Amino acid sequence: MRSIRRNLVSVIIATMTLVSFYAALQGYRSSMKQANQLFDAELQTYAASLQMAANQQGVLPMPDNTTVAFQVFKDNALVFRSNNAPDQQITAFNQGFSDKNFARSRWRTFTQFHQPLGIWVVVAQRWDKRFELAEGITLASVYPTVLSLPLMAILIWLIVSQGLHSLKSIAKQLQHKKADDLEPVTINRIPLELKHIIETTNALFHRLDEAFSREKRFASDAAHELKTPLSVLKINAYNLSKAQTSSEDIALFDDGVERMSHVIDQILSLYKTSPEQFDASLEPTDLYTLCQNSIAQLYPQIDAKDQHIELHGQSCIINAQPFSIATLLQNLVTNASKYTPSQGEIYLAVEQNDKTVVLTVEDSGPGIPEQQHQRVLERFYRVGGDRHNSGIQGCGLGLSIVNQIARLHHGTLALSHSKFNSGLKVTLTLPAGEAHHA
Amino acid sequence: MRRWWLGGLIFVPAMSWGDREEFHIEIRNHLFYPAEIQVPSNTKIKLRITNLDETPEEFDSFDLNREKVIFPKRTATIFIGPLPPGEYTFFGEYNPNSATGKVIVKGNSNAN
Amino acid sequence: MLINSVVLFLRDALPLLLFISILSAIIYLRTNSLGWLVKATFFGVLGTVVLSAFIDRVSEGFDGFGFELLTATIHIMAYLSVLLFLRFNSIVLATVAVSLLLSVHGTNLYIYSSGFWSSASVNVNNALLIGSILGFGISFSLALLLYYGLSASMMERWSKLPMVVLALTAARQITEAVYFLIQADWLPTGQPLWNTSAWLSDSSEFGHLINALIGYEASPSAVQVGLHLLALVIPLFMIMKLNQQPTVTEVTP
Repeated sequence: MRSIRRNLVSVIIATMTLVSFYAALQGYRSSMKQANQLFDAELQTYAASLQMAANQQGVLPMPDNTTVAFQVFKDNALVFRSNNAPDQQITAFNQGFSDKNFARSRWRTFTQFHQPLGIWVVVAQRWDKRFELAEGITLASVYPTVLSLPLMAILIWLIVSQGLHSLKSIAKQLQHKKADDLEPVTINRIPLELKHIIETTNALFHRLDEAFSREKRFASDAAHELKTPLSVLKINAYNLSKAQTSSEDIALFDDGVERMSHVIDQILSLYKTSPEQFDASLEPTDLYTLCQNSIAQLYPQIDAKDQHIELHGQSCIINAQPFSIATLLQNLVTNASKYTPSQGEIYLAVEQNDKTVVLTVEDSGPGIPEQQHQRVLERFYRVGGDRHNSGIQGCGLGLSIVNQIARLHHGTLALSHSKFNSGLKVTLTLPAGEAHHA
Repeated sequence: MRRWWLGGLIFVPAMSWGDREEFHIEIRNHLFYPAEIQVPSNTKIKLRITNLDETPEEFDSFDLNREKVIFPKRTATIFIGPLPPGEYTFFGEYNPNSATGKVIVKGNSNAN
Repeated sequence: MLINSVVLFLRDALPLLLFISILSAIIYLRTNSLGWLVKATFFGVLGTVVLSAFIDRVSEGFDGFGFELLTATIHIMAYLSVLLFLRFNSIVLATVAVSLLLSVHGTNLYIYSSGFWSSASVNVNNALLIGSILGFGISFSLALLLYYGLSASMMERWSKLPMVVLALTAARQITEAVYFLIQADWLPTGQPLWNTSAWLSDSSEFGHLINALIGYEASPSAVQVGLHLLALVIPLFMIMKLNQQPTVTEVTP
């Protein structure tokens, strides 16, 4: 498993190590270079000071731990030397620095000719000793870099862990959540990076919670709604079994079956257009054409009640799933026809605004009292409740389906009084589609 | 003398090893003796290095493009050149501060 | 002495660690396991022990060029293992390649430690220790960063990048082998084609890094350049072919 903390800690420590070690190396290099220059300068001073020994002769004993040796030549003859220098000439008489091997070591040599005295001075310093001295000093500056690394690593680890604390806290809350616990997750002082994750997660929990309670209500409502036609059917069936078959009984039986299949159809529509099932592939669709189709399809029913229907407007493109919108229109027009008395009026209009497309459906039926406008959108709610006195078949799902489809298309649904003396006006506002879309 | 050539496709001037001039260097107390050798220019030469110490040493030279480990009490061979005149430094990788030296390539006209 | 122990790590530990990190990044994404690396380390350490025990005798063989020839052979075998790995996608071949390279680089580090750490002085030993820590720290950090970089690149658009980097390091093995073959006089030395040491020296830290990654050489000869390019073109060609394969299988039903 990839771990954000492990990756971050590794990469940060590796980068810090690389940079600090490289810096230490460069520091070491330049210190050593400077130490070298210092030692060379020291050798030059030493050579200069040996002028004093112009008249000395023999071998000068040096302390055991000395790092330098010298030779003094007069008239090309070795006259004076340190006891650690060989009695042969160390290096050729060329003024300046060079490197030579003698006395089982490599030496840095400096040769100088003192004109007035006529002497050649050769001074030498052991390479290994001067290197050791320089390195001893330089290393002291490198130690802290190396020794502080473990400390730095621990600090980085702690800092990154602390930085990821809120992430860990959220993960822990989610991990320990019970399946039916849909309460939102919370942490103190939400960091910017987690804001979206927490908001989205909590919104999801909220929707799930709503969906669960809706489903629970829906199941009991559906059972109730199916039970009424069933008991009617049962009586009808009993009557039929007594063989006192009358055409009225058969008509009632038919009615019962019709009502049940309508309820089941509506439940199916509701299910198909539920947000969980909805296929979000929207396509440019002409709302006006869909209205024409719906009216044509439902015309026999409207004609049977001798109602007058009108459609106004022109072609308007919306981004929609045509099947869902057709279901929506069917429900609206059916409702209008159902609740409007014979020879009543139904008026449809499709209107293109700047960014929206507005569909209105008005009828001259009894309308819905304003205080119930919200409730009729709930599922299985019917005006007047079970004692619905319109004598009209319905299960109270129509407007729920319409509302659900409207929301899926990012539209809004509003109810108001129609332009007729009485009646309902349904206003559906949908975002306009891309007109230039193919 | 047995010679191994990869594939036989690569042309190498026909010249037996015996013809090549040999130079000797010894390693004692982690130092090269002699620390400077003079070789002729534009000639391939054979450098034989004997390690008299108890520890291995690596003959290393960025200038000559060579690195060769010489094990204790053994002699190793390195071919260098043909080289244009100039100074080519080398060092003992394991004792780089003291074990240093150079190959001085003398031009043909100056050869003595 | 500090710089030299850093350089030895840059020369022997860095190429090995970079090679391991590239293969690890490629393999880990496929298998989510680094078990193969444990095996490779085991065999590599075993190889180091065996080689270290015999290396001074081996170096005497082949007219004194045994060490060069063995090293060259191992690098060539590692190169071939990478080619076969690219072709057959078998983790065993990656294990073989890493074991081989660990053996040869491990032996170099062993020779170094036996030659280096003999100095008695405390100061020198401290310098060697600090140098080793710096050298290992730098090498390991670079390898780790390369690993994370390649792992990230595989999830993004540049999914071929790790394979290309693997091809580059594979070609480096051939450059290394050619270097030793030239030293053993099996390949002609030749004049350098160019010299870029003023621009990027072989002995600088960055020079070592580029050498470890792609086999950079400041003043290569024609043979070195030619064989390097050949060694690079073969795996690159194989990677190109590998990338075409999925489209071919899609077309044929």
